[in-house]
Amino acid sequence: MTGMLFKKECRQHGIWFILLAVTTPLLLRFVSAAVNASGGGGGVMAGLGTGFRVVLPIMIWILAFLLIAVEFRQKTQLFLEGLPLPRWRMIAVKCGLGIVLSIIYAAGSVLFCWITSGGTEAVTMQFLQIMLATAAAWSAFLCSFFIVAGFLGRYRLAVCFVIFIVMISLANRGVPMGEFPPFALLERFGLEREIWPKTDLVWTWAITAGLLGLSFTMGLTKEGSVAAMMGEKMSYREKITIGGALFLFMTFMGNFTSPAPEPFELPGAVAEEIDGVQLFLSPENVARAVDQDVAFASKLAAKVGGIRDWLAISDTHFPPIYIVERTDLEDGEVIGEDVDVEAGRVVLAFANYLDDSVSLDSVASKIMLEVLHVRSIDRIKKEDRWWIAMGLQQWLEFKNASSEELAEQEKRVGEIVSEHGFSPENVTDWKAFEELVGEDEVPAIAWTGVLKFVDEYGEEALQNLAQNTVARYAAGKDNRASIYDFFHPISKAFRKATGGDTVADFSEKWAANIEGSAQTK
Amino acid sequence: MDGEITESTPETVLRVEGLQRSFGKFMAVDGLDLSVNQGEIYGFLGVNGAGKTTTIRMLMGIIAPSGGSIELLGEKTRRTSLMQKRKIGYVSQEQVFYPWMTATMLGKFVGGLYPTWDADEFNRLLNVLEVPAHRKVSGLSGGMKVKLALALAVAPRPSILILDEPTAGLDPVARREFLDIITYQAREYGRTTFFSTHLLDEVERAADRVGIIHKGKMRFEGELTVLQDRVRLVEIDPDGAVPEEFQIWRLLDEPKTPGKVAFVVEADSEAWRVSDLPNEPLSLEDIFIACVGMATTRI
Repeated sequence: MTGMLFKKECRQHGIWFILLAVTTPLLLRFVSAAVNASGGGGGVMAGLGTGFRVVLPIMIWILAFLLIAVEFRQKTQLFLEGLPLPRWRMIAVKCGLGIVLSIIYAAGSVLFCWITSGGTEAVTMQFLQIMLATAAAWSAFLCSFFIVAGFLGRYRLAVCFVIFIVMISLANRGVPMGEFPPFALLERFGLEREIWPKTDLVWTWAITAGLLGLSFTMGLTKEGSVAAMMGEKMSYREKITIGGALFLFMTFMGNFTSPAPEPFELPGAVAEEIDGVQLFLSPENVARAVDQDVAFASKLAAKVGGIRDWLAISDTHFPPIYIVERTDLEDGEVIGEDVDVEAGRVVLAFANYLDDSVSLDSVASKIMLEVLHVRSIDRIKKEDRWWIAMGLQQWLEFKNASSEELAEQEKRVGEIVSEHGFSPENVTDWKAFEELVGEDEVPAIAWTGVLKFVDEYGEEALQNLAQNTVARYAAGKDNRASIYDFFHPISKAFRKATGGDTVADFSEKWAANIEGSAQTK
Repeated sequence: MDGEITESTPETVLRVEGLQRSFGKFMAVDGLDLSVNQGEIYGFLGVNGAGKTTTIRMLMGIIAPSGGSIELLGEKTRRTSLMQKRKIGYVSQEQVFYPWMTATMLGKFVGGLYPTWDADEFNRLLNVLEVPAHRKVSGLSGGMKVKLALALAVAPRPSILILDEPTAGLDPVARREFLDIITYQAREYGRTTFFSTHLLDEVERAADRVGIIHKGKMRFEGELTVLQDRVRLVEIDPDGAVPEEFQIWRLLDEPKTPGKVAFVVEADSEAWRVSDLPNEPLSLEDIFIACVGMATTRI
């Protein structure tokens, strides 16, 4: 009876069994070579450990799919049920065959890698035995796991996906997954030559036995009707439901998978904190007196704090600011970066901040733009709000500017408009417009937009718009920001700030204003 | 059981007593009794969902009964054992063979599970039934697959053939052909055959005895001629009464004669012979419909 079932499986999947037997050692050898070529080190056998992690699961997944999922998907188990054949024997043959073949594939790969290592590995009998025992236990575990997955039928992919994500998430949160069996088996694979991983081997076989027990339970529960029901194809409604559930799961997990950032330090920096604004200035020449830096830090911190209050950003959501002096930069030029540190993200900027011609408003407004970048995880660069952020920075920079500076800015606007023109469509396609005009020039046009906005609706409306668009807290580095954006579209905030005018309404007025100014000049 | 005709002979091949099976709170088979005698064709009749397939799956040991007993070839058991199963030839409702196998391969595979397998008989049956021996099952028509299933069921020379709606999904020609084959097999080789169906013409054509199951209970078991002798249409005046020895199966909503009250009534032949109750015979279809109790029946 067992022989008949065994022959049946071999006849049904024989080609695949052979194909897997041939390709598994080849692929694992390839991965091992690739690991060594990329500087992985440890030799051919150690490289095989990576193959066991990456390639072997796929091969054994295919094997388990053939043995379990195909049977239940084609409903051919119903044919077997009508025969004088106990149900448990069918499952036993499948599990047994799966485990044996998995071990053959893994052990065969070990031997193949050894044979093809070209004498670069000093393989002693004990070393070989340790590797073979480890390979057998690991492959048996994989097979038993995928057999359980096979009994989950149409839910197997979703369940495996969830398990995979949970494991990645745990690893990212610092849980040492590699220290627990069965994964611990691979930690020293191909490296440990003397000591048998006895505990890990025992645990792995125990887990394998548990999984096989679970397989039998699933296959025999309610006279096989549960496995049969699971084996049916997913309905359209079910696909939508499972897809939605996975999406929610990913959304949930996405909030907990960010790896812990590295700490950030700026040696020799002058630190200043005024009203919750933490400022660190790092002079180019650390040996010089820092009186000027301290004075500038105080002024800048106070200025930035003022803008922060105007934008209604709370202290707890305001990132520390690190400014590194770079005297090679032009006056007023600020190069910003954002950096992940242990306590969150910070602003790191480079500026020639002690140059006599530097305007405090200019540096403060540019630093604030960097702050908005950091707080929003760059979401202020989204097309629907980028012009607002850009224009706001320019408006803050030129708010107290001299008439000469304003005249120069207006002249620049006139040149841009005469060369490229400006239409309401440019507001909705701001990124394309920015590309056309150039990223150094386009802020001037954004400035005209904010000026017009203030002219049309008042400064209080601009404050409202800024607070509810570019200054709003965008949560962490995960998908909460997308969800927030979905429920709080910029268009809604715009209408609220203007008292009903849409972006399109305003764009018409803005474009007409620019055109009018150009004609006047 | 309503209208039961007790038939117990020494040659009873299959006897079921008080068989029960529930799925949660739903009672699919509820205290079923039946008996199948040596060499007869037994038609197991019922509407969809009556409990036919559940009963057969219990007879085959595929699912366990919640209660009752099964006696196969004198061996009484709670659940059909593997040894008993080897004495049964089974054709399921849906033919789910391995699509990559040919009829010959299937014969070898199934044959390995039956000690009594007759390979020559199997090949002969394939030949007689005109089933291509070397064509993959995936290339066979529905009718061919049912014939193949029959050949696989008959080749082990079973004591009883159990067929679960074998003709479901077949066209009328294939159905007729299949019925002729099982009738021939039964008549020629004295093979006991138990087949379920919801088609009355199949029962009329092939069955020696019939069991009517409804809502998991056996409503009638007996020969067709006896059934038609016993169950008749009675029309009486509204103030009239049906004598106590007559069992009313059903009150009809619309009598044939205006102003009368119509009943489907069961009584033994002797009672009908001596009674002056006006009555007329009914077709098997009418009896079946009355038996399964459709509320708005017109006869």
